[in-house]
Amino acid sequence: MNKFGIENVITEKATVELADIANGIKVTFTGDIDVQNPEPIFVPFFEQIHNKVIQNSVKYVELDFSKLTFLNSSGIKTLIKWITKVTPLPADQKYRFKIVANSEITWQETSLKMLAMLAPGLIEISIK
Amino acid sequence: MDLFKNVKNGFIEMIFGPRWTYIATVRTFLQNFLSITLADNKWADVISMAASELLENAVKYASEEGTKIQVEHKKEDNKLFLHVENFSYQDNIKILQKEIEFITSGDPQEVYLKKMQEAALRTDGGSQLGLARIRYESNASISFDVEGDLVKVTVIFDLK
Ligand SMILES: Nc1ncnc2c1ncn2[C@@H]1O[C@H](COP(=O)(O)OP(=O)(O)O)[C@@H](O)[C@H]1O
Ligand SMILES: [Mg+2]
Repeated sequence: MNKFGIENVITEKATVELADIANGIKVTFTGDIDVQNPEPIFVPFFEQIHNKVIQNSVKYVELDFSKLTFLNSSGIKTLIKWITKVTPLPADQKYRFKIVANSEITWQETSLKMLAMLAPGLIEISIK
Repeated sequence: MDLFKNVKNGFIEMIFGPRWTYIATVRTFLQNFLSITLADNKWADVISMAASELLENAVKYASEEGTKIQVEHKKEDNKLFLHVENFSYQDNIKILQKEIEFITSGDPQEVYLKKMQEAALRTDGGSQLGLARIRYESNASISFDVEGDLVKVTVIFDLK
């Protein structure tokens, strides 16, 4: 369990886990996100994290995709919705993301790089 | 009987009812198959991702039974043709036409970024990202044909 008391998302083919780390929180994606409608599963989960991060003045969120083998475009949309919630926030509420990508999973470098371009200055990308 | 005559080009064809659960199976099969056929594993990943996105559309926007996927590797030209066919409604077909016109009109990265910015504001289920994603991640050309209610989307990958 994490300090926010938020439950992990566990679906048939994917898990998304939230964990505390020294300087913030870490969200680890595993498996394949390829359901027809990922929004009702992931949007509320990301919103919960977003709200707690602001309430608790957390400034750093790591998104680790290195074990996510597939993500469909509707899944990408749920991440876009999260990230674009942060860009309009006032400076004292803003937080930074670090995206961890796996160079052996072809789509990650391209599509995750684009997420970083959506919110310039807010997202750092690390490709392993 | 020409079973052994068409060995010059690799060819795969699958036909199934529009069911979501087939998509992952077909994606995994293509990824495995193409990673043997094509020298560069990256292409197997990119092409199976594209097939998966197109099949999602073929299932989501189907108006009746029947989904067909064809993969043809034209070795001499070093090109791979991916076709996905389904029946659909005219209003979706019109949207598809507009989408393809838009995403093939500009730089793949700029178009994808624009679509992402639009997706952030959408509240319906659709993302309108799939086709732009395919173009950006593969640099492939995307086109489509319509015959009545039958839609065929074609993606051509330049494997050079
Ligand atoms: N195979 C298809 N048959 C009918 N309409 C389609 C098909 N593929 C795409 N479309 C139309 O084109 C739009 C864009 O497709 P896409 O970029 O994959 O986004 P999304 O699937 O999120 O809606 C769809 O919303 C749909 O209206
Ligand atoms: Mg789609």
